[in-house]
Amino acid sequence: MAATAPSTAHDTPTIEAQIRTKLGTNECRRLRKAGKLPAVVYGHQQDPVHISFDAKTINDLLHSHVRVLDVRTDDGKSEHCLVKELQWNHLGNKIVHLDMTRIDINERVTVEVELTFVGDAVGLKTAGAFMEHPATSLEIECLASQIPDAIKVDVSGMNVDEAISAAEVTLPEGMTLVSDGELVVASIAIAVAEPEPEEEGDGSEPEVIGGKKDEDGASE
Amino acid sequence: MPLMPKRVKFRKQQRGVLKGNAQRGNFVAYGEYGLQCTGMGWMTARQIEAGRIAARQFLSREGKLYIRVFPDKPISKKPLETRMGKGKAEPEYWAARVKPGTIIYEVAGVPRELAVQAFTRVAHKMPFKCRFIERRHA
Repeated sequence: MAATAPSTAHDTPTIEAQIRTKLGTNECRRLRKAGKLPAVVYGHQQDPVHISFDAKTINDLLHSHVRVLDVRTDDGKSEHCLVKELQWNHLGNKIVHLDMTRIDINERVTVEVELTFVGDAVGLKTAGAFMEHPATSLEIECLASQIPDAIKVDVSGMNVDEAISAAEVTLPEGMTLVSDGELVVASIAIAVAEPEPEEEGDGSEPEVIGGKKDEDGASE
Repeated sequence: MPLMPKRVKFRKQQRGVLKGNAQRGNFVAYGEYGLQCTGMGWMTARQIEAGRIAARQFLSREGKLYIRVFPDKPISKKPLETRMGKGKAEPEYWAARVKPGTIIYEVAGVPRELAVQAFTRVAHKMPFKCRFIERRHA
């Protein structure tokens, strides 16, 4: 039912970074105002290094689904880093911090990869049918140099009340699933009309847990 | 009938203070599109219900609508022409505390254009500014 097409791995882009010596919330705010994005690099049993990137450059790279970067710091060092975690602002429209982990380009890493659903499901032609995606990404293990942009899942054969689990998604060669195999990635259900709740009196109040309801009306 | 809790530990609550931004419930988790509020305040159960009806009527029976906020705060109100004092008034309605970034509604299984139109209608009924948001992918 589910098929995947191998996707292309990116060339590792190089990005310049400045080492941060002043740390903390206020300093990070100042950096963001100055058009920088604070980040941290850790892993491979080395001390963490606090760095900052040019916000526009890193945002462009991240929006083009780049996962592995060749980070060149201003002290002349260069190392391959994997984007581990992004922190977003409260509206979810701006990256505020980046976590990166040092990697060897030939080591196997665990990453979360987006799923793209292709094909027109047969079941969606039924009146009221809709597709749900409880999970839109899967955690996989693969070579750092072969991280796919997305995994394609073919849903064209799906019917009503059918579901595709993570284990059914065929991964490109050399990749193994880390997520729970029973995780549902797509299912087709029929939308049931929501029952109209019966009208109750205005005085309806919820039950008070433990203790008698205080009945003394305090209003004059 | 607007939403309200089935059981509560205490009938009345103090008003409290809303501060900061939404640190949870601020991303689309269940559906594909959502309505995110950019303001702060109490959202009454009647407002939540009005938004639900507006979206449901526009979408007819298509897709699935999720309500991401729940009115669990009892708001009390003194009757008209009542002198001050004599204790806290009786609960009048229920409200949800909403901070900037909170996702109020989500919808799944509808095309983007339809979701935009539905949430535009819902946004008109909201007591604060809202914006349309899509699910963020990995």
